[in-house]
Amino acid sequence: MDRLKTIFEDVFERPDLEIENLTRSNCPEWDSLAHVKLMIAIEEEFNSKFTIEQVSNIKSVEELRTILNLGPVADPR
Amino acid sequence: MTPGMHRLELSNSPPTRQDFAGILDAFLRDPVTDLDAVISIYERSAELIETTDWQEAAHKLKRNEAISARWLASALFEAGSDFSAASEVLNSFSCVPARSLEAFRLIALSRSVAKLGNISGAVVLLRRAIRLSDSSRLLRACKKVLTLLKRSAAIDYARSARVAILGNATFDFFIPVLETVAFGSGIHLLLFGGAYDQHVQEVLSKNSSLHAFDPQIIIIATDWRSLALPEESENPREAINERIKQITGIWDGIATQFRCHVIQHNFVIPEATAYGGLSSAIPGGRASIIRALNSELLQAAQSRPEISILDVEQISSIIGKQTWDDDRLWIAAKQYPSAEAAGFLAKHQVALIRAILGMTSKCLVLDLDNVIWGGIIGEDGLDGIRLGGSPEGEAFVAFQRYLKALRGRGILLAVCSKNNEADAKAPFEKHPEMVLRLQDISAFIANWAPKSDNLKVISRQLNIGSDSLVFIDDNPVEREEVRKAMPDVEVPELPTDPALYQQALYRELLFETVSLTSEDKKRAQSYQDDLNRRGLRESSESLQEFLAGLQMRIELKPFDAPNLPRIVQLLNKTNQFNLTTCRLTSEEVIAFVESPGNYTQFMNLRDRFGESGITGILMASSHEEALNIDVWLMSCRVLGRQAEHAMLAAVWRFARHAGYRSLRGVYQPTAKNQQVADLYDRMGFQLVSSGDDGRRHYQLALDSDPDFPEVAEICDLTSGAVQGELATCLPNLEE
Repeated sequence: MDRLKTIFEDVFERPDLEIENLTRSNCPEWDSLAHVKLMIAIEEEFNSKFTIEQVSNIKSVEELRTILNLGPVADPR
Repeated sequence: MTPGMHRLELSNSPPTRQDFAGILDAFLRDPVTDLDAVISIYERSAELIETTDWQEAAHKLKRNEAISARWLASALFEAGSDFSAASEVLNSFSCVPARSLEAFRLIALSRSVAKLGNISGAVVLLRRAIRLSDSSRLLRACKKVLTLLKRSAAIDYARSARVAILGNATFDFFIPVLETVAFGSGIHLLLFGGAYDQHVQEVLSKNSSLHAFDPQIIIIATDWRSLALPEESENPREAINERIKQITGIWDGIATQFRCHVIQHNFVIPEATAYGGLSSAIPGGRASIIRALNSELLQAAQSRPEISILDVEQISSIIGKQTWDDDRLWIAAKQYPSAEAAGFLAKHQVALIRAILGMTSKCLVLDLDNVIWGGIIGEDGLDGIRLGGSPEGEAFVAFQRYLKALRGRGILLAVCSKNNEADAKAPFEKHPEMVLRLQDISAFIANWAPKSDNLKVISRQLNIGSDSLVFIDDNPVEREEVRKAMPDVEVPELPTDPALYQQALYRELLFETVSLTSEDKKRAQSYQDDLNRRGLRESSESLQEFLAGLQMRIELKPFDAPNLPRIVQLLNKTNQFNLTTCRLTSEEVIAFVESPGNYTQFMNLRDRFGESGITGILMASSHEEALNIDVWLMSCRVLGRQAEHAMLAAVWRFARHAGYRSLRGVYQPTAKNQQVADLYDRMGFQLVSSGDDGRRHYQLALDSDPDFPEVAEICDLTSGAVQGELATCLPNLEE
């Protein structure tokens, strides 16, 4: 299980959400309210702080992973 | 963090069989674990069970002494859907006094217990978890389980309330936190979040969705930014007046359009200021202005019983202003306080809501050994116990002072100790450092029976419900025994260090009240009077002789403004002698008084042992030829004194003079008012009808003269007085 995936599932209340290619433009649920919820949850989970510039510019899971320095997630078999 | 945990944290690929062996090994070796580590094994346990043959390992881990091993076992069992094994493991240890870990254990246990179908058991566990959750991360985990529980069954709440939160912020993030924290106190909150900075319009516009929501409580959660104060104001007086006027203007708007209680946040002095220390030092500095504003806000609220000021400036100071504010969240999302402080603010709001709903705890039941003194009196003796004289002894003295102050404001103290009674009482009678004395203790039980049995006796002796008791014990086993046997009793965790008892008890926020009435301050004394009365009762041969010996004097008056807070308090917390259990806000009471034809009465009872204060309330409304008794209640402190006859006689006289043909009464059964089920029958009323829900309607014709026993000297100001307005002052009844 992937911690980022868990957060997205919780915020969108959608178990088994596929997040890899998710962006703010291809996911209608990812509105500004959900965005802030995601940011808060991710900060707590990864014990890190986004800058205000990152908060406004993050537009996809891919960017998030880069910022969190996670690298790409391995292919789930 | 353990080496095994590091591997679990950092590896992005699914763990291999070899990783797993390493993790198991680390868990078996290392007994230490922290919340991050535990959360991370729960999150990755699904992967672990996919990659390995986990069952054998889990069964081996659960028998290990190390708590970390059992955490892993329970995570594996849960991921493998063996919920009964998971709850068995989680029940086999406790993380007290580590609050966060204990909260997480209870969350995990609640989840498994719910999956096993025991929703009410899961609810009790989740409530405890919420009370222990100090971080927003834990509260989010609680919220997730709450959502699960709500989906699976209708939950039994102690109380529910419609609460609107308005202000110059976005509340979408805060509302789930508030809802979760309230659930921890057994309150079902239906919440309305105001739109950003629209609170004035929402209050004043008659068509707003706030009106449709019909709130019982409005929280005005405006913060300092809404004041639009410059760093320095040229005319400080004007700046303050103008803002007080704005705020009281909103209160007026609420008072004319809603019948509800208002929680007004006061204003936090922000950390960052261009003026530095000068901001507080010069009269026009922003910090000076906010400080003055906060104090004037309190004064403005003094004459308005429907307004409670929440001291958010103090609350933010307790958690620390550097944690309180998150400027990024404010700029990006118009949200305050910070995510980390949200749960803390919610706890204080819920404590006040609990008080407004009349749920404030009334009695603190104390264990003795290692709670109010160090050591064991039965073994160490009077000279051996630690009380004063050493740092540890001083800690117990300080705690006793705190308890004494609680008693001074009307919280009853009781003792429930496993000791011989003579041993237990000796320090109270003889130890020079004792702050608490026997007369401070309203019920004293020292024996070897289970504590839960003794708590039932205390609840009966003091005539208060078990949901009003708070039980303090240093022994986790005793706490658990009481929790199991009496889930209604509040049982806070206690730290191991006695120096921390006082703050631990305070942080539970169980004794918050909306106002402090003079009855509150006298309450502890009046329970003492009760004990003396009981002494008389035992020496009197008949009930009538006992009552005559009390030399009671009963005063009956229509509702008046000075006594309104106490009247509202009684309306909202009286459970036993309460015919209709009608809960009313002060606004609703005023509306009732002002409605033409309505009759109100409160009773004040005095006897030779002391004054009971306002202990009876009766409200009746006019319905053509009949006067309907809508509310009739008496405080448990005056039950068995036949004062009900005096109350009924007064309303009877009024009804007769006013030309009514009959008096009508209703009994509406609840879980707690069984004792008045046949009151109207006993009073000579005729049963008219009874409903399926147990509701019974009664009538008493006014053409005959009922025989009211004379039990006291009666002073009745209700029958002749002008009803229909709230008297601001009354003729002095003292001789």
